[in-house]
Amino acid sequence: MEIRESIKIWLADALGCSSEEIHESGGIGNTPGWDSFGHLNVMMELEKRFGISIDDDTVRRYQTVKAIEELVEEKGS
Amino acid sequence: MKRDVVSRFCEIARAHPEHAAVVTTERGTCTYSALLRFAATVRARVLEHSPKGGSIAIVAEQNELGYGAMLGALMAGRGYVPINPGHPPLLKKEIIEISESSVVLAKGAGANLTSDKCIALDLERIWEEVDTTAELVDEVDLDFDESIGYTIFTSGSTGRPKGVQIFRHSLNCYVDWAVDAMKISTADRWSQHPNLGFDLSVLDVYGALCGGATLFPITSPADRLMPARLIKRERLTIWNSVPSVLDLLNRASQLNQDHLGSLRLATFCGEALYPRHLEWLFEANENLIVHNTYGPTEATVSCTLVTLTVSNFTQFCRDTVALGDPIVGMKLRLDGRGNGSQGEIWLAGDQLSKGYLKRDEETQKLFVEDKGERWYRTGDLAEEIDGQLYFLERLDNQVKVNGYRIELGAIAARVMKLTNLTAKVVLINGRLCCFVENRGEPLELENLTAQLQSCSESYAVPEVFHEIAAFPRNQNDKIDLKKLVEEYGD
Repeated sequence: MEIRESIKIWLADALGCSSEEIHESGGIGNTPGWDSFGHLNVMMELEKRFGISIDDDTVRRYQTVKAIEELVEEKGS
Repeated sequence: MKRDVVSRFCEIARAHPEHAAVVTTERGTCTYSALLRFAATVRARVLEHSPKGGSIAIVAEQNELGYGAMLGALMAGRGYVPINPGHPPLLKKEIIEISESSVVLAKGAGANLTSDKCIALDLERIWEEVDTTAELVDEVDLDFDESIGYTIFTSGSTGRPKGVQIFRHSLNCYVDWAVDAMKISTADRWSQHPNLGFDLSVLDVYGALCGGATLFPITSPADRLMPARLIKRERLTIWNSVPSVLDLLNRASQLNQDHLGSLRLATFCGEALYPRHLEWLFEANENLIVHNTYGPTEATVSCTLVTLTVSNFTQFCRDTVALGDPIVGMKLRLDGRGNGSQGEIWLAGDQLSKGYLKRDEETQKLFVEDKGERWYRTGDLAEEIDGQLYFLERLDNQVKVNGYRIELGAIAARVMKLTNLTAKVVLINGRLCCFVENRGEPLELENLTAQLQSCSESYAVPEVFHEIAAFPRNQNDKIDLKKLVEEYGD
């Protein structure tokens, strides 16, 4: 639960929306601010926090809250 | 008479057959001779399957298949209808139906887009079975002044897509200008960012292929997010983009010599260019030439130009960067409304559209005769300062998001149709916000968003929904939009 909340907080920060607007079924196109600019911010956060390299695979993969949660669970917060 | 784009392309392809026309990571290099052969085969297939005429819908990715389909349709003397392959199927089908296309050229699964009135041809299959004996037609026998080159669809005010018909003559004039003004040569390596359903791609495709340059479509997700990576990797010399991409590059810390050093020319169109954009660009590459251009789809991509360099750009900067002067064959005037130096931009000349497909009333309203000349009223308000023109705002309910034209009323119309409730859509801090008067009954928002996604362009689906039991109204019982945004817009 705590991990989820912390993801919501930094995601909201990256997207410029409030954490209440980040839903578990959220992702690119259905979350405020998660357009191409927002996605770039999300990817740069992932790069900074978890050392994820920004390539075609990761840009495609981390387009949803769920995929990011799975990554964080795997890497540990 | 301007030279036809097909003649220009054929001449280049015959002079430089082994030169790279298109390069992608997925498909490798496509030479000019291969592209010419493919286009000739497309022409033959179109004439074989649709001998009686009719427009050609093209639903294709940005690569040699899409570009060859455009050239092949023109070689067949037909007008084509480019459709963004990323559109939802319902929208694609609606455009194909409105345009009464007789053929759909698509990759693979185009069959689900056809009806009993048209047939689908698989571009991949045409590529695999390219006909080396197909006739090469350098000169198309056609009245270019009267024939449609392409019809591009934008979102219409009623929620139905609206087809802007561009004469082949207009396309020829525009390309003639581009090849000359941009000094294109076989040494140029040119990015291709906008999808084929967005008319900014017309400049990339014909400018490059009629000038002998090599096109590098930006298709990979990471490159689309950070196009400067491709500019650096492929040592590109020409980059054509909407200005907002510069904000992305800035965020990614890629506006520097390392990433942009190979560029000789950057062109911008589709939305306002700001002074900060120019400062970033010239700091990264002081030898760069920047073309800022302006124009609506109704005047064939763009019809003004200001050429900016590190030494002259500040004189063209106010709140935004100047729009420039009309290009050869085009006229621009401000239709004054009260305040002397401000007015609506009116355009006339070779690049003016025939009008909207099957929308005579709207065409007559916006394309008007004045002093013996046909003018298009753009709906863009501009101001003249020291002989330079600066964009101010739209006069109607239209906004632009990432260069895409959006009619706010059209989105509200869609929401109202789906919910049977009153809705208003506004742009707040770059985000589409939809207000719905739910009369106290909460909406099923996920369901509504999914329905909107299935019938609209992805950029035209509101990001934020505000449900309000009853909208504020003024004394005349009209919705008070200002109050609505002030009270509920956060």
